[in-house]
Amino acid sequence: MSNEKEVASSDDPLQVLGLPRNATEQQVRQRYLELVREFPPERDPVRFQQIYAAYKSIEDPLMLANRLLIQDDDPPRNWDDILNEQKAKPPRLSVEVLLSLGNQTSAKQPITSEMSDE
Amino acid sequence: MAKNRKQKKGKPPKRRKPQPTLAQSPGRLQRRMSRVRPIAWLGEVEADVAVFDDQVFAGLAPELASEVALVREALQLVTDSFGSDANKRLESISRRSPLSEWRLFVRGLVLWYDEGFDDAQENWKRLDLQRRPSRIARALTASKKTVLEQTDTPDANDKLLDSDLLAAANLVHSVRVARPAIAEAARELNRRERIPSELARISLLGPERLEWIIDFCAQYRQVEPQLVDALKQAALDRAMKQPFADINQIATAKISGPPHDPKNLLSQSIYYGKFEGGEIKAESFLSQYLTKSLPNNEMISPKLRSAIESLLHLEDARNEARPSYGDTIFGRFLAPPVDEKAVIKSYKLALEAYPANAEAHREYVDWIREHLDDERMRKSLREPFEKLIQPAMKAWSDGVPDEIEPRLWLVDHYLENEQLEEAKPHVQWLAGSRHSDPRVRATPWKWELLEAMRLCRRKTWLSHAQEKLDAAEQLWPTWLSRDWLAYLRAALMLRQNKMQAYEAARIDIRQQRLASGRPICELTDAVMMLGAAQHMRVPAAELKSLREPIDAAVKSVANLDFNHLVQVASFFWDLYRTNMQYPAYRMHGGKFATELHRRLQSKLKPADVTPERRSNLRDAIYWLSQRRVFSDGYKLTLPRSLISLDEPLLVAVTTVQCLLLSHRMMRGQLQNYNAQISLVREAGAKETDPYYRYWYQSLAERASEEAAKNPFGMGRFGSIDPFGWSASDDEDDEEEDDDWSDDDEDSFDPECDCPSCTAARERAGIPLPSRSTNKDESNRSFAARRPMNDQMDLPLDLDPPKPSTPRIDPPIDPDFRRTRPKNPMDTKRKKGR
Repeated sequence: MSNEKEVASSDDPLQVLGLPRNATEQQVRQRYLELVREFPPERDPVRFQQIYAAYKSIEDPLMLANRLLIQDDDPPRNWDDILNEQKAKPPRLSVEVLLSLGNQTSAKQPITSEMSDE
Repeated sequence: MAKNRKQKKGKPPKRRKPQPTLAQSPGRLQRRMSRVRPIAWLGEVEADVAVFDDQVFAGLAPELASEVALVREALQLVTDSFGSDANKRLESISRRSPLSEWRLFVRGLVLWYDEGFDDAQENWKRLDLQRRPSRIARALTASKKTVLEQTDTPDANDKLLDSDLLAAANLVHSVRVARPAIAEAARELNRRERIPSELARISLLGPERLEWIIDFCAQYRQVEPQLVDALKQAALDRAMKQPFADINQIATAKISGPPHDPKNLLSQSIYYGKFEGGEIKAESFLSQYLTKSLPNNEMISPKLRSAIESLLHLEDARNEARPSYGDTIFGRFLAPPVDEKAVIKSYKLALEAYPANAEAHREYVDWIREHLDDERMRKSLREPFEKLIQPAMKAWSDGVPDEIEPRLWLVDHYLENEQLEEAKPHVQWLAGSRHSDPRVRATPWKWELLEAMRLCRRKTWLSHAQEKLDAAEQLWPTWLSRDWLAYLRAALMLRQNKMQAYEAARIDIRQQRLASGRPICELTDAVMMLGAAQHMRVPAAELKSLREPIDAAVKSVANLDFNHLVQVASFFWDLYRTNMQYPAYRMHGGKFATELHRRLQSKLKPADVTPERRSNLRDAIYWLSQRRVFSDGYKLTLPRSLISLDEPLLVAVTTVQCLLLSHRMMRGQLQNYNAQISLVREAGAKETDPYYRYWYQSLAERASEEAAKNPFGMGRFGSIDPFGWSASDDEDDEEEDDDWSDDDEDSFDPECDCPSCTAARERAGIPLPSRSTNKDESNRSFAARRPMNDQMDLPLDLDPPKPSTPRIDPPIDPDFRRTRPKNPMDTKRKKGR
């Protein structure tokens, strides 16, 4: 997300949610949930209302479709900017890799069906 | 090789367990990542094993299996960044369940990913050390220790870390902290591309780099999915913004597009649409997208698919409705004739795809009305449009039930055609809605009035018409002049053949007007009477005498008194607001409008704008404005007399209304009139007249929405820009200067910021149009709307080479690109080799 104040004062629902213009349905929902967690209604009702209104408006398929089809006139992003942005977002581990972190090869392995077949 | 053979012959070296090390290269990390998978150890808790082993999972008791399924879902949710959903998913697992460990683990994992390491530790420290969740948590925690970057040996003091956990921690450290792929990407992307010097300044993405990105993305998709996605998106973006079709072709073929366009068919359609002569290819891609790709795209919801389809057809309809012959100064004059059938087809396709597309409904109806309002059109040409309007309004009302405009129109239409049953639901809906539009609140009045008119159709019904007229009088809206009511009563008498009563009523009208200090205007009197008589179904023979004074006025329209014209226009404004225009209105309305517009071009005399006449003049200007006389379809042509009125609100409302009624591209100019829009909005808040209060506010609201939109919609259609040349071409500026001659100090161009126009605008109390003060910025936006092959669009100040001709066949071989002659880059490569 860009500047916090800028986002809050924007009328563009995607800017309020801090999303790029070509955000997908999943990204919109994901970002909305993140923001709701960050600004719950009991803690920041004004901001929550902004976020909710923005989500509701962008939830409209027609509006989302309009956003997706608008061509971007901006100059292309710098490679450095992209890399710096990615540096700030370490990748998450896939479920398989995550579970494999708990492996214990020093302990005895059970005889699995795959092994018995071999 | 020989050395290896020797080794094979000798005694094999003793196998040693490899020490855990950090993955220094992305390739090594990638290989390591592809090897890892969870493996159960002997004696591991069955529930833990079931989390990753389907066979064990299948053998679990149903209760336990359902909890394991929840754990699996939760882990996937955390991976997909839906942390709060993951925690909720596991709330149902009790503390006594063997899977409660996983609930604690997931809670900590969500915090750990959000960099709440201490909070994560608080959850994880309660985990059973012998179980898998605890081991994973320890590996994750250890991955943060910088000592891992220094040494390959485990920390002797840390008994909780065995060699497996240390290896796992190293892996996590490599994936999330060291990230060698980022370093490799930075090295490659910061390297200067080898591109011929004459192309270097316009090339956003060279062939070598594109190939590198494609290879990189294929290799590290698993390790760095987000980085890969970002690089792919950036490469596609660059390929779309540069003029070399071959690069674009490779990029779109090798890199999948966004979810709504995975095969890049739509983006290629937009890309080729920017080239002169690329229309056929653009249409071909668009057709493939609409018929094959989009209907089968499961990555987006069906509603989004329909919405995209609708918008694409709508864009086609817009282009068909306003064809252009290139982006030249003569474009609008050389444009081919409109293929009305194609326009209708495109609008219908847009509405079939997504019936709730309010914008498409509104534009379709506006387009039909534009033709119906064309008084020069012959009856035979008008008739097809008359047949279109009712189904269009009905479809609008059905598709967008909350819209009042189609309902108001349908009520009138059904009552006019005696379709009471069809009209009723709309009347009930309008009467029941608490809409702030005063026209909606006036529905009962309109119903009574239209009923009175309907009852005049047959002599046997005439006796009931008076009751209805009385009822309408009771409900007469406060915002509407009651002057016409007396004429309606007189017309009813005429219809009932009560000639004496009719004559008396006409005399009474005159006397009452005189008594109220408002001398009657003969022309307005005649027009009101004719309008009332036609609505009350007075026979044609008797209408003849009522037409005569109007026909005479039309013949000598240039000699009419200015104030008489204003009064007539004011009455016509009332008819427009209530949608009560009578049939003969078409015969003379336009002529009076043209004459009044002509008079407004010169300065007004002070006597013409006395306070009593000011409201009539305001109404007259609003009437003219809705007739689209203040624009030539490309720019505003506000009359000079508006300045002398010293009415900034009138100018602002007229400007906003004109632009809203104009076609989409001209509506884009609204973004330059934010000050005027604010003025209209403020006036709406202060206005006491309910009609104007609502109207001003709705005008301001619609104008703000339009101003916020991208004025040229999708880039594919940006090449049809009748304004691009006018804003950037000096010749045109000179033309405009001629139009707004210096000798008339009160004339001004509402968009111009030259000293004379600024001074005139200030005298009129009109604020400067809000526009970017950065000239470069404004030029850039105009340039961005031009076709890609236009020099202004290229990021350099030298003549670009002719862009690659759009071509698909034969496919471009990347090797051929590297080895083809006349490419200095290749000679360098050969030398390097």
